[in-house]
Amino acid sequence: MTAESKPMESETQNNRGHNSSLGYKTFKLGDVEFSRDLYFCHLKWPTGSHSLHIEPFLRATLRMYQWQFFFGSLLYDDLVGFTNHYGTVELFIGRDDPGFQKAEKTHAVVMETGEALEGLCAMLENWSGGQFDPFVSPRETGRSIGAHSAPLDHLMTNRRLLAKRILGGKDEAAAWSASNGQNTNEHFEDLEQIQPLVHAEPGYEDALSAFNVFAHLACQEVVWNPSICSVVRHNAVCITTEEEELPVWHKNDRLEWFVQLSDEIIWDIQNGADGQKRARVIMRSGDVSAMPHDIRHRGKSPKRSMLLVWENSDPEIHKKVSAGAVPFLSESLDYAAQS
Amino acid sequence: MPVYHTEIGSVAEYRKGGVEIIDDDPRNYAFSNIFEVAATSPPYARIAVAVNEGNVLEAARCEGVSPYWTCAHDEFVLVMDGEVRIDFIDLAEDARAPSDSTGAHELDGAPSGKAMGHIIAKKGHMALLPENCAYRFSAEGVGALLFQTIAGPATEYRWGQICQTESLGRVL
Repeated sequence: MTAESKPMESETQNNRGHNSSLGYKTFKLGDVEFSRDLYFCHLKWPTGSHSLHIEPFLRATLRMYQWQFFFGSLLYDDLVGFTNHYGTVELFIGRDDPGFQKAEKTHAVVMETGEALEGLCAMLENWSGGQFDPFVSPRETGRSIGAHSAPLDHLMTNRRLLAKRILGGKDEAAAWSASNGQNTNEHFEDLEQIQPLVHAEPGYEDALSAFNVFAHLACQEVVWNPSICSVVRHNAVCITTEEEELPVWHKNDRLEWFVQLSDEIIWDIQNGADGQKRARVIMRSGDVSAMPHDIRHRGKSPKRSMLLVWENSDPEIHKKVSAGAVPFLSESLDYAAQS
Repeated sequence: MPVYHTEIGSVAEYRKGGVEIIDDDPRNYAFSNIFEVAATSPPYARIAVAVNEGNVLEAARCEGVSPYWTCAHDEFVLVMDGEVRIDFIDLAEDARAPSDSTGAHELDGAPSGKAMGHIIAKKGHMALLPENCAYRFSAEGVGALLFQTIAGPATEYRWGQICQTESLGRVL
């Protein structure tokens, strides 16, 4: 087993022989080398190697980069992922896999968050060529298969909105809508986009605020990329459209909640520590479900759907969870109470 | 070109999913449905459907006129079904909820204070319920609301009634 802390090295200019003719650069994060060819991203580290299909890899990597590794861990598959230690990140291989654990072949590199982000950004810019946009649904983009070419101009644009209080409120970004000039996705053309009527008495123009959540989501051009739309202290409501498959497994380090606003998402639930299967959560419009703090989850949305994600952004909560101070819902909710 | 239909439930018609358990306790997911809660609750009972370290999402049936509520911090409401009018009143300092309190506090009758205005919100609309004002809902029909707030005196808990507690087979 290797547990080495080593800062990210800058990209190397000497491409591996098998992909040099395609024009892609090879990168290193610590002692883990990342290279790509026609179809795959190949990882090599001192004691092993692994390969991931390039398009899912790029979809996952763009979200890891834009979300700055989010809460907990984000995994490409059952072997490789990043854990956010909030200041540093850990690139791990096989850490949560029983086979790697048993053979003592797990590998990890801890690095400064900024260095990891710099490395992922360089990979994305060099590897996401042609008409491939990792942020949009697979039916709406070209492929990333072939030789190196220039990326899309807007590739690294963070296409989400982050409200401090409420979208569209005073000094906040305006929510998306057809009336604000955004295009409506064809999956949501059957929805009306009427805005709420806000009548403020003189002097209260900045105090009252409302917007159309469904219109905002009907006009979201990307998938699996939540915007923060309303905030009460450390509790944030995030809204997003989802289609096809979430490009990452999200391993929680805190409780989060989903509210399905439209259509359907199927969530595969695995044990966070070892990937053992625990449940499938089928969510339809109006359904509410917790995502417990000890699981990993990945969603499938057969049609473009609208999801509300409710997050606890308390900067101390992951410490309470890891210290065992946060009980499971099955233990903390009083199922016998009838108020 | 295919024509897509967006499925959004209502109090009158919804299609609930569920948790297919492989090796877990369904109570870890506290799975419920906002429309079902609204369909089976008295008007404006604020039922917790999600909780996280004191923060709550509350579901409520809207029908007729609600009490006036006030809160020491911002809250938000998302109209999941129906149409509501929300009236706002600017409260004097001594009529507000205690500054260190959380969640919605029901007021006795109509409070005095200057009218701030109103919002008419339909399905899919989210409105800010600003801190320290009084607000009241009125709805001609039946609908469903989802509040984003912190637990307080108006929050009701009925986990055993609203949540899936048994393992299911295949969800149809």
